[in-house]
Amino acid sequence: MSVALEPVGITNLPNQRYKIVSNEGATLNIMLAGESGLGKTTFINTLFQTQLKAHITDSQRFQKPTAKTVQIDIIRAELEEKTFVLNLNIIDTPGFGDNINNRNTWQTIVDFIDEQHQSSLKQETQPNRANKHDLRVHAVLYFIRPTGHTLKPLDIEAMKKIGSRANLIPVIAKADTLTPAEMLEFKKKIRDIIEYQDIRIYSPPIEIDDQAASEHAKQLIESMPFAIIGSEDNVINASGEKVLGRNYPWGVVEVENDLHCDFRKLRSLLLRTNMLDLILSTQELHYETFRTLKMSSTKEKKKSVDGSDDDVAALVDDDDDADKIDERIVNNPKYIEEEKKIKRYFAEQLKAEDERFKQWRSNIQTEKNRLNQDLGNLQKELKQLEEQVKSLKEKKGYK
Amino acid sequence: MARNTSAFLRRRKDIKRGIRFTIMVVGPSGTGKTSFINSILDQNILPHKYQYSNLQPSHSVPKTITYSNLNDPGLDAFEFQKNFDPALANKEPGIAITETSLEIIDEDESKVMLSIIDTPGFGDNLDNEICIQEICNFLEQQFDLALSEETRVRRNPRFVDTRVHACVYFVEPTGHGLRELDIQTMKKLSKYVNILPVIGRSDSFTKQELSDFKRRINQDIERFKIPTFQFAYDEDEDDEDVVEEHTFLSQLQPFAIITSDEEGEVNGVKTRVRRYPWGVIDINDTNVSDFAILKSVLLGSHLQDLKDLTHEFLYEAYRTEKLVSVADLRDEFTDDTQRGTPSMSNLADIANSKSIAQFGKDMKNITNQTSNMNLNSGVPEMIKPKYEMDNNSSILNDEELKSITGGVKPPMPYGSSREHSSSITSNHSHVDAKKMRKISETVPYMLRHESLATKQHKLERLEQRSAMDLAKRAADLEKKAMELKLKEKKLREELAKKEQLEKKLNAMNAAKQAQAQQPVISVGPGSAPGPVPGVGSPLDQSQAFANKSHLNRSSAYSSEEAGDDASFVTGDDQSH
Repeated sequence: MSVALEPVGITNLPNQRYKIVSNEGATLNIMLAGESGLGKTTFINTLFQTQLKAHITDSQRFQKPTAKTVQIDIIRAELEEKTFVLNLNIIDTPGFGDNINNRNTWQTIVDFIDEQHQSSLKQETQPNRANKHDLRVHAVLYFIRPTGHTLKPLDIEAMKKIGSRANLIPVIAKADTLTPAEMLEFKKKIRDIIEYQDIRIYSPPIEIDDQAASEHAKQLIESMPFAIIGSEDNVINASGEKVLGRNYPWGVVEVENDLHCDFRKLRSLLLRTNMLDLILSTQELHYETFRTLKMSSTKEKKKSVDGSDDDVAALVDDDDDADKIDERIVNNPKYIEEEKKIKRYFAEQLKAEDERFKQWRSNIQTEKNRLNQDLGNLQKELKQLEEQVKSLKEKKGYK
Repeated sequence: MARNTSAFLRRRKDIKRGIRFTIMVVGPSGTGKTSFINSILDQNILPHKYQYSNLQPSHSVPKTITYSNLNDPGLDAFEFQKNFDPALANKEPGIAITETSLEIIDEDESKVMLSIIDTPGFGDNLDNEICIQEICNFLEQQFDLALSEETRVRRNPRFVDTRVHACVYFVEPTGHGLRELDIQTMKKLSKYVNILPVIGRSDSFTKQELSDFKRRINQDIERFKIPTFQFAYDEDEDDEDVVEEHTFLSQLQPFAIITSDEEGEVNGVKTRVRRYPWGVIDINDTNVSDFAILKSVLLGSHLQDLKDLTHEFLYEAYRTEKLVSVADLRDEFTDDTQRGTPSMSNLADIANSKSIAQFGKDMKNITNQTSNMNLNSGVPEMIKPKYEMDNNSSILNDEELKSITGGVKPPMPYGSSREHSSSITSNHSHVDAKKMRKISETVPYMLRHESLATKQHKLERLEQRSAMDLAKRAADLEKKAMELKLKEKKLREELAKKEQLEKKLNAMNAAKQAQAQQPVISVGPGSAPGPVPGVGSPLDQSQAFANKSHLNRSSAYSSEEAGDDASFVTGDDQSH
């Protein structure tokens, strides 16, 4: 009688892993960047099919001054689909590109991304790092205005800066204002610019062993940058179905129609097929780059300060947090400008004071000279008088 | 009414000569300015951005009037946008002002000489302050030209009025409201031109969104006190049709337009369309787009209104301000210039003897005279006194300006204003023609002087920049030269070493040969010549390389110097 060999059970490991992951849930941080009025809020509400973020109301509009600064708004949400929990953080950046002078407006965004890497680095070096709070940006959706011409210098500069720090996904907003021919042309131009200007954008990995997946990834890459339409309303389309879309007098634009826009492709990239890759590449690529840069720079600094070569852990502990913040502030162009201004002011003040002092000194000098002269005169007078007295006396004595 | 007849007469004469009308389109790139112009003329006149390589015969290329760029003084925003170059896309284009002139002949044989002023580069820079400044300068210059012509004794019969009559400002279809750039631009420009805010590409809005957006824009216009063009009416004076039309139009403002370059047919009617996978838009359909209405307002019903407003209110306000300021300037001038100078002292006397407000009256008086002499209609000029009485203060703030712009309807009855002006005329009838003549002689001079001064300033700035540029390049070149010298030195050293080595080898070889000649110890003869070419060839190479690098350096020098010269020359050309 043969014994039915029971399998050892190694094959269960993926299942165990699956259990852990489905219990823990996942965290996804998405950042939205782009000028106001491109449908950032609408898009996020469309993507998750809930009202995550409210639109600006009329009364809110006038609370802020017209010259805006870039803000960071974080919306936390817990999404549950079939008992799987996704912790979602939406980072919105209202005010980007809204001013007359948009120099350095991207700084706030870049700073935020760096700060999250920094805090992650710090949390990792803590003794107890069980409840890490992770706000590292996994994907940045950069909204491009559908001009049909080109990217603005502001877009290019901001995308360059963001692309080197996080997974950048450019999207063409409000795609329903470009006809298919115009859209093709516009996409081509954007791709050219991205290539020539060395802007790093996220591209899904192509797996060679999985035919279907690689085919899908290729399709995604080809349709970059994604042209999207957002809508929160359900409308009835031409064939009588109720769909998510926009109802125009000249027709209904369907959000989930591949002929109308790339919304489904982008959703697939963000949530269905490449979410893990987004999270992992943030960890492995962007965070690692940041860490390497940071560590090597602190190490070098340390070396140059005391010449000793301690181990890295000690270094990070030693290096005060204040020191790092200092460094960031020192390199911030906004502060640099301010510093220059203050320095100039200081120099002017110094000059003025100096001038005043010189004036004062010369005044004193002239005063002194005058007094000296007076004194000389008096002395001369005295001498004369004395002589007079003498001569008088002589006269008297003679007499 | 007398005014109407004379206005009618003037208009008829205008029609005969052709009406000159200037439209300016301002707005961020990609809001549909070019398409708007092409649609309004119903022919594709202007080529689109980056489409200059395949020009159609119907296209006419605009010519640049002026341009300005802070970061790259030689970069003209208009030239820049002709061809698409992804490698240069991150450069700030600056701003240019371009003009296209054409003639339209209507059905009733009236001729309109249309000039279209475009502003490529607006809103595309990181810092857009310069755009507003440049456009304002341009508009002011046109006013100055008209003013200096008007105050001249002998007028140029071929003088072309280049004042801009209407500015169509394209608001980006954000759905939120006006942005800082929009607010500031419209506010600053409204001093010189009638502004019609227009929502470009309004096909991105559903009906509800569009009405929300319009409401928000109107809120912003009110809140920030932006003096835009108003379709005002007077219920008592105007007839019903006008009242009705204007209420309709003012409710419609700001116009939301959809434009297109593509021609097509909808229901058998030839029109322009936008074709989407989900539907076709007919841009002339007033249910979805206000384009047709805006077109008729601009080129039809309100063309003369826009012209009159520009001349009678905006230009008048500017003129008053300018002349008063010129008078003030004189006041200062007299302090250090001797009183003997004929015109200046006279003007100063006038300015001193009366208050500034009264001076303004004097000036008006002069216009009345000059216009009576030179323009065929003196009567419409009578409106001016009314306005000037209202705003004796020389500098207008925005609110006042708004009241002026809004004042298409005459709120004061004509009789009183005419009395007013006649009383003024009698009051100051003693101001003799001689004085006036002197003013008319000096004012154009002052204006020209001012414009020259600004030009000079601009030129100096440009020169400074190019000088800085040059210095930087020179420093770069020097650095390069130093590097090359170092390299050369290194190579020389290597060469010397190699020579030494060679000598040694030769010596060794000689020794070897000497040894080889001795019969007792024999080294393989094949090995002896081996090392000689082996060492020799790299030596040759390095020598060649050294020569080459030398050559390279000199060629690099000459080419870069040539480049410097060229840039310098172009910089000079621009400044002239």
